[in-house]
Amino acid sequence: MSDNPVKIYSLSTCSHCKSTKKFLSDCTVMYDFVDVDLLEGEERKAILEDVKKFNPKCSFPTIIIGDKVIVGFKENEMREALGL
Amino acid sequence: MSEANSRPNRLIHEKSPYLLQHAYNPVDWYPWGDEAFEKSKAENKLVLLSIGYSTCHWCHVMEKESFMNPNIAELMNHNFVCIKLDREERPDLDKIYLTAVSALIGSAGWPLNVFLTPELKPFYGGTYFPPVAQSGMLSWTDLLKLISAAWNDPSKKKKLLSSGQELSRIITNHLSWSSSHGPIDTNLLDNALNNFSTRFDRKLGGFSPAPKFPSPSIQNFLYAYYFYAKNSVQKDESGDTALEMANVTLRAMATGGIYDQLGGGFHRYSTDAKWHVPHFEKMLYDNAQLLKNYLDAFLITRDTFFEKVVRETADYVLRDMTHPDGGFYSAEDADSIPPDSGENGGHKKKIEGAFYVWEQREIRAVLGPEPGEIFSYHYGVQPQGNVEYDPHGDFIGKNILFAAHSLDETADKFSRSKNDIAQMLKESKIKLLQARADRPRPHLDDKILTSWNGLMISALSRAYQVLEDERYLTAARNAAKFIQKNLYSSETKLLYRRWRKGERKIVGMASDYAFLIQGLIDLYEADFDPGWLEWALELMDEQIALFYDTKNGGFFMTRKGHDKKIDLRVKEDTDSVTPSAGSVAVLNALRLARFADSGKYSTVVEQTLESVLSRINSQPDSAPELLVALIISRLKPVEVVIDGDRNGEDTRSMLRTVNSFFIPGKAVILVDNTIRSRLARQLPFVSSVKRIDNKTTAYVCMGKSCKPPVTDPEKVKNLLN
Repeated sequence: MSDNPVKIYSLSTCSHCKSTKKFLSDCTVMYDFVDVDLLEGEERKAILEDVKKFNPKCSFPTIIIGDKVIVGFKENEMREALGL
Repeated sequence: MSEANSRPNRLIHEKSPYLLQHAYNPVDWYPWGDEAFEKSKAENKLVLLSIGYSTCHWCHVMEKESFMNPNIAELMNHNFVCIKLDREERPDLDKIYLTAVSALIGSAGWPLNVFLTPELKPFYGGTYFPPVAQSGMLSWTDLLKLISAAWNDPSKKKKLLSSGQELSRIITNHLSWSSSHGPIDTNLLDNALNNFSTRFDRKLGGFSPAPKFPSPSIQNFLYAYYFYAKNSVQKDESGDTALEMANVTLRAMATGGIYDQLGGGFHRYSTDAKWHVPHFEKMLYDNAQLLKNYLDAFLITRDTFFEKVVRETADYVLRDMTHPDGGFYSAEDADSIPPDSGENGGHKKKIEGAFYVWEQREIRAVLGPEPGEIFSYHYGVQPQGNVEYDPHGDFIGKNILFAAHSLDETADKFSRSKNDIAQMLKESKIKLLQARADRPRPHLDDKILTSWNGLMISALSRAYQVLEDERYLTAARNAAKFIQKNLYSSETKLLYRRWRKGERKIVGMASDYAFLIQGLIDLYEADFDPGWLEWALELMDEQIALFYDTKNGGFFMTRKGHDKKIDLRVKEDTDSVTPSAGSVAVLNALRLARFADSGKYSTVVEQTLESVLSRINSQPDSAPELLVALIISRLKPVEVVIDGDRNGEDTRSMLRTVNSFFIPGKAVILVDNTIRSRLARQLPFVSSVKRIDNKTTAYVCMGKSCKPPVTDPEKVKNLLN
């Protein structure tokens, strides 16, 4: 398993975000996440700008594993990026 | 059919309309069952198995000519144990013996007459036979004599038994395949499209020379392919080709005589290449599948021509094909007593299409001279009749209505405004429909089949989603309730196949499960009652447990032990006039996975796609419905979750937007406080779904990633575009 840091931009209400978090937890992978919809004002704006840099379509989850960007709950791509 | 024999045979105790049509034959018919098998064994007699369905024209002809003939009946009764079978009750047996006859003579159809050894092994058969020899055609009488003579000659009997064994071995291998499967050909979809392009009749529409069948599965594939091509790079042209072929075909059919221009609904198939002269029976399954075709055409093109066909066909089903307690009848016959037969000396012979065809003088009499002339021009009515292809002389002087001229042409011809003409034609149609209602009706096959009802529940639910006519939803819902009440046992979880006059019979087959599940998913997406979804999920588990071939993929038609006399469990690998149960099951599994947040069907989906599609690599056009499933499995899944008041105008408007898109395989879920916790049992995430600013809110996900929620239908439109 690689030691790449994992970051998830997610929505609190999105099914595939939940599945992604569950998948990573099940694989005992540590990750940071931010539920963008729970943020407000300037903070939300700034984070959305960040997401757009990785994923211009700005959809969730947007998952950053090391230098890889994965959009959506895609098990196989995540496994590969994580070296699982 | 007619009651020539005063005493009925055993078929009088059956409920199948087809079997009852033969209850007064002098032939001593048995239904499929032990009594017949035991007699055949005890008396060492061959079995004559005769298969058909109640609205089958040539079945009626053979019945009148041969099975009503006392001398022929005597020959049959003396030498054979004669069994009548309704293929709509037992599609599994039909498939087996149809395959046997195809293997023997290269083609097959109905009536299907098969000769079996007492062990029920087929050794010879055919379809229609004339009572006396015609040029090049063996007569039924001669065939009966030849076969019984062979059976009574020891050396020939031996040969006959061994050929029965050999044929059974061949059809078992063919129908219950267990081949290992390879990868799906990467060009399969394009190859299928090319095959359809080659088969396509560019001028007249359709995918074969005459006779032309409506082929709803093909159009279904073409629309899905169009969407697929539009949403992948570099494939736009082939998408347009697909769209064009489907649209041309649907237009040609709906302007032709295969479409009931007055009453809506489609007849069985066209005997000529230009869709003018049909076989007039109307089948529930054709109309259900075609309804969805025309709905898809309307969604894609927004051409109200297609919408009109949807409405007229749905109205036909509601008017003529719906049981008062809910549920849909199976079919209407082609033949009926001509309306003027009373005047001609009480001549009561049924004639094909008599209910539907018109002489020009009749039209004039109903409509008056001027509207009569305008109607005649528009619908191609000629004083001498308009049927060029009339091999049996049924249509001399008669007209089969078809849209001969457009509204513009008709308006031009009579120098009237288009509106005037449209209004006049509308009124004329109503008057003629009323006049037609006084004619003797064709026989109605009023049995209620779970599988075919599933197809119509699906069609009317989808029609409601798009057109918002509450009557369609009510009819779909009533049919689902009817099946739940009369054809399903919630204690034993057993689904049955056929209901008629209070009797349910025959345990469900894979197609009953698959088509009903499809109907329930579409019904859920129409009224958002989670009960339909829960039932669909339960039935899906049952279907996999009972019919899935865990070893090789694919679905058997029947459960284990369905018929103790028949070991062979058939697996269909092609779509016919109805899609195979396996094709629809894969489609259902792909859709249900989105409603149940579940990966548990993925093996069933992959294994079935691979095993069937690798078998049909060289003829990819033989399973168009399964190709639709393949397309959906490759598309980014689209899911829309709406949190809103189910009766609120905001919610309606959001749903209207979502349902105005043609997106194969999309899933729509409605959450409100009355059902939130119930839905969360299958879809845990819905417990966290909420409304923003107390407004109806849509959550749109595509390809397993989601967009921030929106409350404006316009924004949903942008997201789905």
